[in-house]
Amino acid sequence: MNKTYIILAMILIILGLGMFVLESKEQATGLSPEELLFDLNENTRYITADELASRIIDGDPSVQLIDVRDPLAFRNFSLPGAKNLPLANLCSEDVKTFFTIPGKDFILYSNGDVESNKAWVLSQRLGYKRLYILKGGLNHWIATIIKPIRPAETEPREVFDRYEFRLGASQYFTGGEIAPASNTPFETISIERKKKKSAVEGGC
Amino acid sequence: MKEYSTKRLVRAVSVFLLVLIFGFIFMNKKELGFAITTQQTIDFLLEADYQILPEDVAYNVESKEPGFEYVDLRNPYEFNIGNIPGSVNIPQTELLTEKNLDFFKAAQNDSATVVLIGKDEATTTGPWLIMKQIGFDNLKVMRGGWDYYANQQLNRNEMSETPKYMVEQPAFNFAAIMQLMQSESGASQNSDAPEIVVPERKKKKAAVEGGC
Repeated sequence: MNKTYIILAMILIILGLGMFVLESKEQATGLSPEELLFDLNENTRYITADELASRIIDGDPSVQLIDVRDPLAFRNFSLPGAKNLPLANLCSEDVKTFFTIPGKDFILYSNGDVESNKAWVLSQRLGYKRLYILKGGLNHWIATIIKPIRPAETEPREVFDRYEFRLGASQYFTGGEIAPASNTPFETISIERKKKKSAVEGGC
Repeated sequence: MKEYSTKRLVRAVSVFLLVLIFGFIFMNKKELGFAITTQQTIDFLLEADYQILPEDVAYNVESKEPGFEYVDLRNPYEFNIGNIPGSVNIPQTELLTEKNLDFFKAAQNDSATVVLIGKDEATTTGPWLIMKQIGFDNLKVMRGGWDYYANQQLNRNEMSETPKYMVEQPAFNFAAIMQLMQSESGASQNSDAPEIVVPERKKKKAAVEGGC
């Protein structure tokens, strides 16, 4: 009698331990290959440069830019508020907690969109949510937002509207470098005030 | 009599458990899973060469080099407009169906190199990464994708320094643009009202100090 009870208890314990193994395996994998492919087929992961520019200018607090290039390239040039996350660091614990910040859209970018796609697939597999890719990367960003090209006269009205927006965005991101006419009055004012100050100092 | 029935009970329970355990093992095997961890994938990405140049593909196609399979991941409509001769159309959405997985397994058993062709490199990289992580090591991504392949004169002996498929190469001098942005934003901050208030106060203090 006692032996059978012990055997039964052992079986139950082994089964219980087995449940632990199953559970931890499920947590480790995140998404399955099929789910990953499904997400990949939906092209909703891309965000255009115009959309991103208007969200940054509007001060959208949910925008969290992530630069997946190497630290040197990040130091040379990065978008406002971007955090540097090279591919090699993707699996660290800090990154895991970073991606759990609620209410953020994590927008990945690189120079093109190959590296950002890699980072997107790998982070998506780890189960991180709300991941996006800047379509065309920084090369496209500079070609459209920072250095917009004036469309031909024959282009439809929407293209000109978009060009106007990009001109404004370019001023926002470069500090008004593009239009010198509106920039000069500010400069003259600051110079005048500086001179007054120095005159007061000399008097005392 | 009593002991007999408990023995039977134990037997019945253990048989039941065995069935359950086998069921679980069978289920796990049938389900498609990742063969390597994300960290292993990253380590591979950082050093391994998984790409093939479109010029090499064009050369291999023309000279009918053995040991290559070409898989076109675009949809059938795009595939019918133009494709690489001898390529198989497996739309990206159907990549993981049993039939197509069998195709990839057959290619792996023949130790053939499977070249993936998408619209461009960015769209090909995702499917390649999935296949790589499942455990197919014989796949390569064609740089530039079909967009580049169809629109360029592909000659291995006359390749330009920075071909168009080098999309990750910076197209502008980023450092110069950054410097411009920083210096300009500094100037605009000076013209803001709060910035001016602070230096004025400082200077007054200094003057008073000197007078005393």
